[in-house]
Amino acid sequence: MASSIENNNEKLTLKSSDGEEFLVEKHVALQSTLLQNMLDSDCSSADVIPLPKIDARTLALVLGYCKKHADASSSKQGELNSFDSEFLKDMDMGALFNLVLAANFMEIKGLLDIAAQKIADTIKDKPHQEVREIFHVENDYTPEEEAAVREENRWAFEGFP
Amino acid sequence: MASSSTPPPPAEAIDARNWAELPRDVTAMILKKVGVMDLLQSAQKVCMAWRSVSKDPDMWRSIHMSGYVGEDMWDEMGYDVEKMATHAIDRSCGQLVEFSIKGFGSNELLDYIGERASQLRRLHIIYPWGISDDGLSETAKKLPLLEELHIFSGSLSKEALLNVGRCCPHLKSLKFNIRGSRAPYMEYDDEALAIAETMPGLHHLQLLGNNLTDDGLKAILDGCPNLESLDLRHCFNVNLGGSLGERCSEQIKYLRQPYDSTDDCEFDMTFYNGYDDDYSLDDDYPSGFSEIDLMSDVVDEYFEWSGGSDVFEPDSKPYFGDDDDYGDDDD
Repeated sequence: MASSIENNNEKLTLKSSDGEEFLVEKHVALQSTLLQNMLDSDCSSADVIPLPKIDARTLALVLGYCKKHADASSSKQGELNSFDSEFLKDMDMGALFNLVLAANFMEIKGLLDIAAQKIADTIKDKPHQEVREIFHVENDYTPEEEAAVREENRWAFEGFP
Repeated sequence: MASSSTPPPPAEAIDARNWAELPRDVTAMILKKVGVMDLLQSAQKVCMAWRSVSKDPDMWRSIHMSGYVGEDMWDEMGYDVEKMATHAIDRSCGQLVEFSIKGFGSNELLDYIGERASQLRRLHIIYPWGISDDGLSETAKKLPLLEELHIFSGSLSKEALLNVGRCCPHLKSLKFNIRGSRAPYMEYDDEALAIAETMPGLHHLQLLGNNLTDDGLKAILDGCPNLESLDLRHCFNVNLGGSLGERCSEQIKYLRQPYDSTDDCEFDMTFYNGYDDDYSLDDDYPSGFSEIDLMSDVVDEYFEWSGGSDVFEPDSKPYFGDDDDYGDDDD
């Protein structure tokens, strides 16, 4: 990626779903495989790149993450790890939902990984009823499927409440 | 969180987000991180979408299960972990690549794996109270692709090693670890000789707490010419001075010596050198572990005596740090 370093000062413009534009240094944008592929192909950095699925609030968070990771040298892994855990620490579930979708869409593996881990940690050690409440998920189980789970649950000493 | 001038969205916008409608691969990624136990016990019951993802055999290629949670062994588990393990194996539909169990296990469970997981590459059995040489030997016959076998146990011996070595020609990584359940001064090279005789393809070998002597070590160096990393911590009968030490440093890229620190061990070496502070094994274990307790004093003396055992070799860390760093499961 020698060329990206040479062109360090190049910038490109990203546009959120709600119309806000973000001027981003190219080496920061390259944290996203999606943007990297676009820049590698015929997309000129003079264009405005629309990101119709990502709102401004989420995009600002995503770019904050990318900037930190793009600017840090590999020798600062410890610092990055603490940045990552602080980054998601007090994030509400709504923001986390948007963030994991954005990381998935923009193909930012590190961010996708920590966001998915944070969500998984929220699910762990909780009964499914509580998970439903936290995630605002409707119980759409059919009676047939519920019976199937009950049938499988032979390891449990208690059933499917 | 980054300070943003944008105000937070109204509450109804959050409620409108439907977690059940995340892209399937994102849901799969999250649920894999939830882990086998919570996925079966809870997450799959949340909604039909999560249930559907949980039935995908790809979710079950790597199964890690623990027979106890934290320090509350066998305490209020509310389920039969072994039955749960067989169910998890069923869901992998023969695609199981990695199976890791801690604190439980039986010959029957191993047999279940042997019958249903012929693609298995990595098997980790840590404190498997109910697994014998015969059980592991029989299963090894059905796992011809096995590349990695990690054992932390006192109940397996050279018989299992011989059979694994003969039946699993692709074995590249072996951890055959015990904690101080045997007299450390007892000299015993049979396990080392079994490894040397049957496992010429090994690249990584960890023998924590083994009673091998210089003779056993020489046999391993002769029999396993591809060995890159060798961990001999707590192998107190080995003397790495003189020509044997020189040979080790020439042949082995990442060497951990008998008195090196075990602080970075991925498994509970706290049982070994510090459990007195944590909890008493006698309180939690059903039976048969009092000899470990007796040995702990001897081991503690070793630590005090060896004093500067915190000799650290940063170069050798990667190979004993994270189990997932090598052994790609690609076909």
